[in-house]
Formats: sequence, C-alpha cells, structure tokens
Amino acid sequence: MALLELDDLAVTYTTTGGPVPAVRGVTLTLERGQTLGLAGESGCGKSTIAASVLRLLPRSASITGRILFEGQDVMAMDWGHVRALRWAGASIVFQGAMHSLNPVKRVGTQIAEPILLHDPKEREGAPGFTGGERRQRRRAADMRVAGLLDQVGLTAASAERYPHELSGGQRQRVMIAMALACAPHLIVADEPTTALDVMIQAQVLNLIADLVAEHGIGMLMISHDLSILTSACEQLAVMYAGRIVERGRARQVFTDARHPYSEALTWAFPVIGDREARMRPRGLPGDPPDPAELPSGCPFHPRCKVAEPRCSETDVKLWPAGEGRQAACVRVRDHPAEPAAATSSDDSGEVVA
Amino acid sequence: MSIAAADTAAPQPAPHPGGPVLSARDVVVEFAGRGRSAARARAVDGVNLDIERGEIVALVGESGCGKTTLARTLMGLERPAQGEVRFRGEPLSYRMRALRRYRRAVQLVLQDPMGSLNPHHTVYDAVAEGVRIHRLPDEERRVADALSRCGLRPPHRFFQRYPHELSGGQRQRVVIAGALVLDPVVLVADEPVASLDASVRGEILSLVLQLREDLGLSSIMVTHDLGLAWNIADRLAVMYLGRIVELGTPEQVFAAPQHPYTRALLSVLPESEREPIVLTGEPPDPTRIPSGCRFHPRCQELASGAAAKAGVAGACTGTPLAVLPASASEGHAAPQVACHLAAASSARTPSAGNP
Repeated sequence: MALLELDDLAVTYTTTGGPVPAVRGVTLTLERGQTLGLAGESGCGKSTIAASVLRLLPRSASITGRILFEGQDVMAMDWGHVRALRWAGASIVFQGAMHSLNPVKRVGTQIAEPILLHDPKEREGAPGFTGGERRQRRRAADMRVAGLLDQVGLTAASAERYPHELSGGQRQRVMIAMALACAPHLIVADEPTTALDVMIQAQVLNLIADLVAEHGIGMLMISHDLSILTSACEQLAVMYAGRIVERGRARQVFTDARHPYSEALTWAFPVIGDREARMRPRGLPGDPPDPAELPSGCPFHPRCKVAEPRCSETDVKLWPAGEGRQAACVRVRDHPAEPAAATSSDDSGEVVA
Repeated sequence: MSIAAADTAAPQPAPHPGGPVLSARDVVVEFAGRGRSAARARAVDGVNLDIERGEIVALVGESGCGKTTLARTLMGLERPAQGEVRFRGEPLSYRMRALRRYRRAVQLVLQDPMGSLNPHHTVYDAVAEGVRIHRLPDEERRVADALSRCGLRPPHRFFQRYPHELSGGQRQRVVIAGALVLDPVVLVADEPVASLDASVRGEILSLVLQLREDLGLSSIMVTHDLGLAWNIADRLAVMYLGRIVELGTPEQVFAAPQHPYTRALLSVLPESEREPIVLTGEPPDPTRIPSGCRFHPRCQELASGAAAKAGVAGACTGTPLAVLPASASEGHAAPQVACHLAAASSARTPSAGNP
C-alpha cells in the first residue's frame, strides 16, 4: 500500500470571477522512505496539492479525483480521522517560519501542543485528568520536546525561547521539530529553505535528509528551485498550469530535461563555473497563464521557444520519455526515445531573457 | 514582454578615467547595544571597496554578516563611525541637502517588490514619486522612459495598473523603474531576485546587465545567492562578520577560493562537486568579534589541523588580519584574501595567487 496516492486529482476554486482550476488532473504515488520534489512557478498548483493532502483547502475549493493516504480516502474521512491524520499521519513544514509560529508562545509550548493533542488518552475522550496525571503528561511532553529539539540540532534550553529570539535557521528547525512531533509517516515541506542563507539552507537540507533516512519517512518537497529539489529528492515532478508536465529521476530531469518548461527552469539557477551562464542569465519570458483563461492546446505553447503550429491545438498528456520518466510534449510523443531534447544546442547564442 | 539580453556584451566595463564612482575607505559602522551590557555591535568593521563606472559588484555572505549595513552606508543611510564613503572621489556630506542630491545618484532596490510598492498607488504614481520629490520637469516622459527601459512596453498600458494586477517579475521591474527615473549612477540592490520565481530571476538579472550596457549604470548586488554573482557580477566580495574576507572576479574566486569560509560556502551549493563543508552554528555575534582571525572559531582548516601544520594556528587565534585594500579592477589583479593560512601558502609558492 502506497503512503500517498493522488489519483487524477483536480482542485477548482470558486471565485467571484468564476471557477479557477488550480490543479487539473494530477496522478502520483509516494512510498514510505521516498522523496519526491514538486517544482513549478508560483500559481502552478503545487501548494494547492500540499494543502489538499491534509484537507487544508478552503471551502471554495471543489475537489475531484482521489487522495489516498495509507489506503484511506482523505476526502471521505470523518472529522476525527482528519484530526488524527494531521500531525500524526502527515505534517507540513511551511516556508515562512516567522509567520507560522505564534510570536507570543514559547517554542517548547508550541511543539508540545500537537503532542498533547494527540495523546491517545485525550483522543479517547477522557473526561478530565487528575492533577498528578496532568503533571505527568506535561513532563512526558517536555521530555519529548527536548528530544525533538536535540534531533534538529537545537539545545533543550531553546524550548524556553520565543520565536523572535531565534534566528531564521533556528526557527525553521523549530518548524521541523514540530512537524516531527507526532512521528508522522509523511512530511510535506513547502519551500522549506526559501529565504534562508546558503549555509543554513545546507544545514536544514542535511537535517531533513537524515530524518527521512533514519525514520523511513516519505517526503513531498515543494520548491521553485530545481537544484535544491535535485539535491534533496530522488524523484522530481515539474508542474505547469495545474498539471505535471515532466516526471522522472531527479538528476535525470535536472541534467537532461525533456520538456521545454523543465529545461527553462534548469537554466534559471546557473551551475557555478559553467561558462555558458557567465554574463548570460537566462529566464523564461512571459508570465504563467491565468488558470481561469488557459491557452488552447498545450498551455505552455505561448512561452515555448520550440513551439510548433500544432502545439496551439494539441493538448498532450504525460507520455513515456525513456526509462522511468514521462513528459507532456508533442516532441516527446513523436520521439519518445530521443536521448536529449535538442532544444538548447542549436540556438544558445540567441538568448531571450 | 521580453528584452534582448546582453549576450554579445563584452563583460569587462571600460575603466573610468576619473577613478571609482563610489568607494568605501576603512568604513566602520556601529550600532548601540541593547540591554544592560550595551556592548556596541560592529556591523561593519573596516571595509575598503571601490565600484567603478559600469561595474557590477556582488556582496555575498550570511545574514548578519553586515552586507546590508554596508550597502545602506554606501547609500548614506547609515553614517560610518570611522572611515568614509566617497562619491566620485569626494567624501560624502551628511547635510540634508547634499544627501538629497546624492540619493538621486545612488538608488536602492529592495528584495520584495510587493513590500516596496504601495498597493494603493498606480504604477505611474509609484515611478513618478521620485520625480515629484526631486521636482524634476517632464514627469510623464521620464516615467514612460523608465518603464520602457525596464521592459514594460508600451509604458502607457501600465500607467494605471495597480501592483496586485502585475506578476512578480513585472512588479520588480516597476521598482527598478522607480529607481531609474532619477537617472542614477549606481544601483544598490538588496537581494533583488530572492523573492522572485525561478523563471523571472534570469529576466531581472538580464535587465541589470542591459542597464549597464545602455546607461553605464554601476550596481552593487547584496545577496546570498552565489549563482547571481556568477551570472552577472564583474567582481565578488565575500563578507564575514563585518569584513570583506575575499575579493576577486567570480572566475578567480569560484575557481580557486582561498578563504576557508568561501570554500565552505561553495561546497554546500546543491550542484557542487566538492565535499560539502557544512559549518555548524550561526554566524557569530558582532558585539563579540573573536580575537585573531574572526572566522577562526568556525574554521575547518584550523579544526582539521591544517593551519597548525602550516604553522599559523597561533596567528589564526591571536593575530588580527589587516583590512583588505580596495582592489582596483585593472586587468586581472590577483584576488585578495584575508587568511593567515592562505598568506602562508602563497608565501611558499609565490605563483599560488593566480593558479
């Protein structure tokens, strides 16, 4: 049984301006101990997927397709099961650690909160605790908090600190400690290192990698930075306009992208020492499409520099593109086995940024 | 809405005969400490830096290393406790009127465009603000010019838009247009692309190169993104705890980093092939700068005994390093580094400066 299974998931937000399809049919599977990176620009639907896994979407979102967490349909769960799923089954590390922590509570109290809430006694609806029991629970939770802080490389004394007394990297570690508090099987990390320094980012990524390896946790990491996802995840899925447009082993996708969009994302972060990138920053012209008004055919065709006339008519689904990988592009459909997308070699001199 | 990048540009700027546009000489910036102890924090502790006309200098380092304070000091927003900032060779005057003139010439671009734009102001008002403050003629022409220079074309279509109607990249272009409208000589950008999408990043960096090409605009890029430095910087200054510890062209510094701190920074990049050296701990406290080399408590060379083998371990912990001189970017001067170990090994092999 897979840890997480999304089956043709589609999420549409109802807004005053009409329906906005944010996710348009995403199918993916994640096993325990696996790491999957989800890449794409803002607005491509990657964070909507993260929220849907824990049923955190607003009421205005209508969902079709299925989300299975350890075989259970998340959408069909009753409230008690959803509560059990959050923190204990799966937890989220959000990007802005400053905004995700309560500024007026000590971090230890905040980490202990899910632990106390998920205490089995509490869940059984014990009517109340005696003073001794309560003290015992507190002490046990404090021990657990100290253990968690140690796991993420903070001292036990940090539990007494308020968020503003910690640096950005330390706050992000607190977030990770919270995410681990109830020993979940899945961690969803939404841009966990954005706004962190190179060195702190390396520390946090190392920490996440160790935890995944040690506890056999599954991880879904979301970012717009392909180089980070490639170093942190085995598998990579690139999203555009609510769909996965390329999927495969992370390193393969990063070094030899088959979809023109993934390729454009790989240029965005230069490899230091790569002479091609020196004094030639490359971006992707244009803006991501408005989900409410998607272009006809392949939604990427207006920005694609290898677009052909047929691209504005044909909408391509994910297609096998070599061993263990798929891409959604007409060129891949025509030449599934072609080793490298010959998109960059012929016109590298003509840089459009 | 795309602009042609400066792909054919010869990256080396013509050296300005009149010397550097902007320079820092032994600049020290202190902040009063908080609380009972009230130790003063030396955010910048002796920095020499020259910025030539049309040059793009990247200032990299961890948060808290003083790079933003240095940039603010160069803008005249902080007053150095010691040393001075020189603009076209003249020491900066901190009288209101002179500063106002100076701030027309040196403009600031901040990280988060949504935070720097007033959501109630149209694009036109946002860009025109500087023109109004400085009471310049031809407001509309200037605004239109600045917008189209920044790739927002045709400019009139953007005049009445509000920030929320724009994409992240367009917003940052508006912020840059707001800086350009005053015809500045130097652009100081603090993390100009950190909050932007991967796809937009390259476009904004190309814009900076394009502006250098068209207007001879110099830029100081304050960033922790080493890729940015590789993408567009002519020179790179690595800062640690208030000092520049290594200075050179990105080719020099990235190919043969000499300071252990620079080596550590490079080694943890996701694409790095070096053995990652993850420094533990946070950057140290500027109220308590370590003795000797300020990096020594975290230095991997000292910890591994390499410094002791070279016979400099005592110097590392005890002898302060001299402030690096502001390297003039004439030709390919050897990169500068503030490290006892690097000094010892280049003394043994004199050619080691430029491998």
